[in-house]
Amino acid sequence: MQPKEQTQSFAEDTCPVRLDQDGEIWTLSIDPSISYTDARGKLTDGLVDYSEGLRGRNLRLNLGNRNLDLFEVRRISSLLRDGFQASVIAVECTPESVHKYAEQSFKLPMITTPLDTCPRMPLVFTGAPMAEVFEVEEEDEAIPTDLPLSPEESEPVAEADGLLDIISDLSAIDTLADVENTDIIEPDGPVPSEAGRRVMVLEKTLRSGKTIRFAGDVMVYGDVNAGAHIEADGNIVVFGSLRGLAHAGARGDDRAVIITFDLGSPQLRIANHIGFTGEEPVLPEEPAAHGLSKLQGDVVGGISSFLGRSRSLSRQFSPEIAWVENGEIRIDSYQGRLPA
Amino acid sequence: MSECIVITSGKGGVGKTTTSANLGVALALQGATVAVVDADIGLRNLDVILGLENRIVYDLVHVIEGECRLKQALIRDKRADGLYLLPAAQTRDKNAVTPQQMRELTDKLKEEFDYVLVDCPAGIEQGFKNAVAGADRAVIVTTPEVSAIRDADRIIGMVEAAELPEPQLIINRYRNKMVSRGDMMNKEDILEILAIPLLGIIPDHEDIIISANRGVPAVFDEASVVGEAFRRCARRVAGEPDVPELDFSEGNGLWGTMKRWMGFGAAAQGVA
Repeated sequence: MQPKEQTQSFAEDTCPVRLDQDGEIWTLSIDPSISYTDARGKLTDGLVDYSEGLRGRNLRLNLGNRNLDLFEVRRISSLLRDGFQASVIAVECTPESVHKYAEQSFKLPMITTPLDTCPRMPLVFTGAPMAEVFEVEEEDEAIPTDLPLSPEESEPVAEADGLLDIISDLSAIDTLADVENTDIIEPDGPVPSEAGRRVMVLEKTLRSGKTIRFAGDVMVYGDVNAGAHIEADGNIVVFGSLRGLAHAGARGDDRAVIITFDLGSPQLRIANHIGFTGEEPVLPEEPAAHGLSKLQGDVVGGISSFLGRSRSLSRQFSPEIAWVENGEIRIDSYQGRLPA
Repeated sequence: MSECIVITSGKGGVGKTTTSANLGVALALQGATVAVVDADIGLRNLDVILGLENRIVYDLVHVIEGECRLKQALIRDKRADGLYLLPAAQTRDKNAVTPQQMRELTDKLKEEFDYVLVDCPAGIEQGFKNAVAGADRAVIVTTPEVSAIRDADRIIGMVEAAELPEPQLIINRYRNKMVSRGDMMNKEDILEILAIPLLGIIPDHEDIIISANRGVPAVFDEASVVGEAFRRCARRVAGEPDVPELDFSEGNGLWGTMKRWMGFGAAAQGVA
């Protein structure tokens, strides 16, 4: 951590739990040498006298280089919320902690490499500089080869419609789920690209004609309607119905996957592979005597595949995953695992 | 408070002009003052649907270019008190006006009228941009066809991008029999994809072709099922809460019975 302008510590520098102010930012630092339990104890016992300093604040929780623990961070967050009406809006820690946390989560050794040398990064969330996120109205050209665009060439999406949230704090990993006001988290400075992959989060339905291009993973909390187009250098995850065109690994990474709650696209693309999910319209084998009646089954099938789901009133999702195996795009129900 | 509502669809031929005319007439018959503006410059049709084509002297482009005053170009519909048409120019194209000019025009109309209905041209280009420029909200017209719905989806996105509030949907040319056979997309499917509130469903009916050819919008015909569907849409546009959905599901028999209950007189033609 950078030295603070002003320090409001509880027992000067000796206290393992400290509240610091740096301009608008208030940081609650917990010394890595004490356990989470001790830290909670300090918060409940020692802090009462200083509660005015904490009360109602939006806090950054600095954990230094200690091991990250989602459960503990949540406990501290709720303790601060219940005891002091303070909200944890960001978690700060060292890249090593993030790395270790990722290794624990995946139960695999993590190897982090710079984005440009390895297209498929370890699953560590980092923010993207705003200028690298952009969307275009028209599908005008082929896959761009010069991503990311410079700020002059592209318009930040978040500014354009305000609907876009980007996880833009290095330390805001999983714990973000437990944190309110994620939209006010701002990057401390340039986000080191070697720390991991970039994720773009869209909290809206993508309608026909909308094109999203992003040099990382794209997550959509909403539907991707027919006629919409997502191109991501990484994975594409749609928490809704995917009826539009999704192109994962758009710069050639065929380890990219597409995961959706409800697959209704007639076509999927991963790297340089194209897969067709819809069935071709079938002509009747013999002309029906009364026009459509004979065709009915096919027509219904056709409509359903266009709609991307069964014609039932209730929305029943069965998550599916698409990946490349032996040079072909394969689709299977998603069981919570990425393909080996 | 007066409002400017744009009637748009993206795809052509789904019934924007018919909807504009009928909503305009219905709102006027409900006692509001209404100006219907044909923004389809170069391909004007609203005047024909309203049966007012022979009375056009000046048009929208004349007004914008200052060749006449706004009031000179407005054509009063003698059949419905408070209904006026501002026709489009037929000899010009969409580039004859700019969004800024359209906004000024609709703002001026809003000073005089309760509702300004703008009949938007098909497409997403200049004509669309002009039509939405002065709008306070939008009504999207679609038919139960995959192509129309995809275009409607696109248009909804563009309406949102134009920072208008969430638009409302009219599903036109709905055929209950085909839907129940499974040959046509049903209301639920459409609403699930487009995810905007429904303003009303207009049944597919031969009335509408006859009324268009005659220049008498179906709303004028008390016995018309299409007219009744548009009247209910207009009541919802005017903010009347809980207007019941029109039940045209059983065609002739039940509709006729219902009408008799409601005292509408002559029985309607069958629903296609």
